[in-house]
Amino acid sequence: MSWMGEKPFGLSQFVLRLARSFLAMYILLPVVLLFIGSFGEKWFGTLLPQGFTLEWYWTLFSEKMYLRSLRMSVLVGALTVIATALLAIPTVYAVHTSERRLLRSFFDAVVVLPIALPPIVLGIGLVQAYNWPFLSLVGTWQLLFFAHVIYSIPFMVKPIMANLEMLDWKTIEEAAESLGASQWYIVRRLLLPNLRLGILSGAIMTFAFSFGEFQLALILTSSESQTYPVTLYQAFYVGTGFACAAVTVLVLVAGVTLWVLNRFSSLRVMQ
Amino acid sequence: MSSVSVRLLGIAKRFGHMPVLEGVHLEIPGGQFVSIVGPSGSGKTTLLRIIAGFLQPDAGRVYIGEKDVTEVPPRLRNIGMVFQHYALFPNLNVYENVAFGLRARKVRESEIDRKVREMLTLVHLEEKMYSMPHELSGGQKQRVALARALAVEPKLLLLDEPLSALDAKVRLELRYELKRIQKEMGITTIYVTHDQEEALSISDLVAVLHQGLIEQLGTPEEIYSRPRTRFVAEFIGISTLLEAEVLSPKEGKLRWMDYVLQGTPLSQERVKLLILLRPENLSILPKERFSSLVSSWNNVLQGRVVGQVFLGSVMRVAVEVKGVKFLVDLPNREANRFRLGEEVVVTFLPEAIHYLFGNE
Amino acid sequence: MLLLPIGFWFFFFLIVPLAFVVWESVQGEMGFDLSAYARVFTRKLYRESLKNSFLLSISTTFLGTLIGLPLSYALYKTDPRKKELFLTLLALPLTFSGLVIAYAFIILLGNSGFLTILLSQLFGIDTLEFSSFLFTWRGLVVAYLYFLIPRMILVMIAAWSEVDWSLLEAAEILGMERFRAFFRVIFPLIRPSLLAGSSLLFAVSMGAFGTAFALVGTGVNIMPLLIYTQMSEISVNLQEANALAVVLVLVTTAVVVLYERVFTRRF
Ligand SMILES: Nc1ncnc2c1ncn2[C@@H]1O[C@H](COP(=O)(O)OP(=O)(O)OP(=O)(O)O)[C@@H](O)[C@H]1O
Ligand SMILES: [Mg+2]
Repeated sequence: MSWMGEKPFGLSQFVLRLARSFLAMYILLPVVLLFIGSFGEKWFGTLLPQGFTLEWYWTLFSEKMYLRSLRMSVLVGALTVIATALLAIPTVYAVHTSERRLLRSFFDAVVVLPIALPPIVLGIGLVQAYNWPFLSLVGTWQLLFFAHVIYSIPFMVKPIMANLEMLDWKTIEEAAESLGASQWYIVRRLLLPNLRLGILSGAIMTFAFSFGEFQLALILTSSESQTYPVTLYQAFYVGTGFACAAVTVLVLVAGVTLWVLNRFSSLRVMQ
Repeated sequence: MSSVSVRLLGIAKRFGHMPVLEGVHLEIPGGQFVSIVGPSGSGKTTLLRIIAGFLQPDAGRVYIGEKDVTEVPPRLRNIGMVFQHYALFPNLNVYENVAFGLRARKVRESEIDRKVREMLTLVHLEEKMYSMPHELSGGQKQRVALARALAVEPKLLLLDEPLSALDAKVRLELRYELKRIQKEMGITTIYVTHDQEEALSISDLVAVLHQGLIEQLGTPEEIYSRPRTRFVAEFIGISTLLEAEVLSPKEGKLRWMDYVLQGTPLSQERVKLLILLRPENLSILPKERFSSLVSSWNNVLQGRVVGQVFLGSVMRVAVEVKGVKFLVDLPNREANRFRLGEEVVVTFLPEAIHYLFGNE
Repeated sequence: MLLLPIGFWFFFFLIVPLAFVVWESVQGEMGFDLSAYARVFTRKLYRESLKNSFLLSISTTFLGTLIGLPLSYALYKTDPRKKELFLTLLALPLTFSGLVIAYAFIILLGNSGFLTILLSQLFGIDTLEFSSFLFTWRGLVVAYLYFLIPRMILVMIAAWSEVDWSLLEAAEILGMERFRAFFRVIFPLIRPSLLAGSSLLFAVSMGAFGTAFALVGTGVNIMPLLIYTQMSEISVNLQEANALAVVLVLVTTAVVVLYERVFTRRF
């Protein structure tokens, strides 16, 4: 065991360390550049931007179009979180407590679905399915919301399932039942409180996904229902600094999400 | 607290094609502490879960008191349950864990507070009232679990190997505490364990479960010194089992190999039966005594010491007689006189022979 | 009962739309017709898109696996606290939408991008020539790798940590040479994850179009982008867009299934 921990296959620690540094740089360099760029007055033809300004952020948060799309993103994101949670919690519970194999495989299928199904395909399907003469949902934020829920299910289901599997739920439930608790009382007082970390992790992931999601938003929304990423796409051609600022907002949402999630996992380890 | 009796009538249960319980009959008088023992996989947990109502039997009825509860859901059976791995509610503190059942029943707040404190005093955990479960030791967790189960004043207390996850010292401590609380409250208690020593020391009655049936129900003393079947004899305690031929039932004369054995008179006519010898009822003498003894005494067997195990207060010596190992417990000082490989004599009183009638 | 809500949602917002896609793909001007599929495989534009998508995905899968595998081992070997940090770092590109990645690569490799200018200052390369590469399918490969490599690493870290390394020692004691021992003993253990990981990369590359769209608009002819153009332009032929969508899903699934079949047999 000992030599393997130190010098696996003759690769020296040095090479491994180099590989790790390279990886960290590879991931961080673009992010850092975006961040720097968002504060630069002018960035064209030079290695790094010149000057320092907050102008781009100021423009971003004062222009109506961006504010509206930000609000739209928050609305769709929040609704997606709520709906996904309401769908995921009973599903996880049912799959976990049932002994049937079939249910389990159905569940596994649901979890890999977003990978197997390109968003463009669901997008074109939704556009055709909900385009009736008397009521067309095409171009409304509702349709985007429906689609986001479909793609968010795994984000919500996975942490909740992991959370539930950490508990000895079957015995907890039996203990509660033997004490005379009704089904609803068990859900309210034991199931939901004990799943709160899982639900919260799922909610954060779902929100981050929905907020930054570009592909479905591009297909499904119209100019009235544009979410932030779609509006942002148009900023690409406004100017480097402004575009950097607009993109940095998305990066921050992702970053904060991961930071908070990380907090959780260390909390959980402590318990 | 009034105590209820429990009656199980012909409980059968199978999982898939595997029968686990095959018609269990068991009558438990009110207020008794009854242990169910049996090897791993014998269906103890299954039986307990059927009594609790978490499993439906395929056949048979469960009575708690005079009431047939076979179809009653667990939460209406008025039972208290303690699990092997505590099953405390991780999101609630000790106080709220104990209060859980009372709150579920919408008991008045002042009454809840009084009851929770009473229960925590009973299990000596008043000072941990506001701790969270993960801050407690295993022993403390199990005390909370017990307080929680008793807080709702159940008519019947069910415990499934509650001490097996604890270390040896805490296990002993809690064993006697459990017994004290049970006697204090006079609650009918069914206790599942695979530790026969634990069952013998704590119970009023012991039921031995084997191959889906209760092989014997009796006081610990009965189960130990008068097992009915070979299985019970082998499962409970250490013993030497011999297959003997009856020479004269009235005189209690038997033959084993070419020895004649003297037991107590037999009430049944039999040709063959199993006899049981407990190690503490046997003794060993030096070989030289054989010829003097054998003329006046029947139960004298010649053998050779093949093993010795130090057990603290006694030395367990194995003596091989005609290919069969006889286990003999001797006080340490006496055992030192015998060397490994030495030829010795094993002897015992007629009363040491216990007949097993259960095996046909 | 508890599955009713999710069943409802999946039915209306997944099954029904997909049924529409399939149904509409075989609806010609007068009833049932498969001509759209025929056109998908005969018209140059469509065939090209299939070919490009395929090339793009194969390249990203191959490179992603090649780069991700050693890196995953390097991360597996680091101490737990650093590993935690790296795991979070790796999740970052996965949480980004395709848009962020596209723009990040513009300022990195675009014609006044950081690396472009750095390289031109160091080696005097032509910035325009260098950066134009970003907007071809090869450029897409580079951009895609940014979110594919982390995926590969995450899958493989889990695999490494489940390997029973004492097997390697055992094999050596039995006289196997170290590298041979690795391939004979350890490789079979991580193979399932390697398969799963590379299938994942392939499927994701086939379906993604956010990054591509943001980088090159509809300038590179890959399937998801083509479907998007077919659907959003006025002169669209929806039937063909639907047929393309069906083909995209089928090809992706078929390749993944076949690939796993072949490689589970071979060893
Ligand atoms: N839900 C179930 N499905 C299938 N088989 C089961 C189930 N529960 C128990 N069994 C089987 O029934 C048999 C009896 O199980 P049970 O848990 O009652 O044994 P036990 O006496 O409590 O054993 P232990 O001392 O190990 O706890 C075992 O063979 C077990 O595998
Ligand atoms: Mg058991």
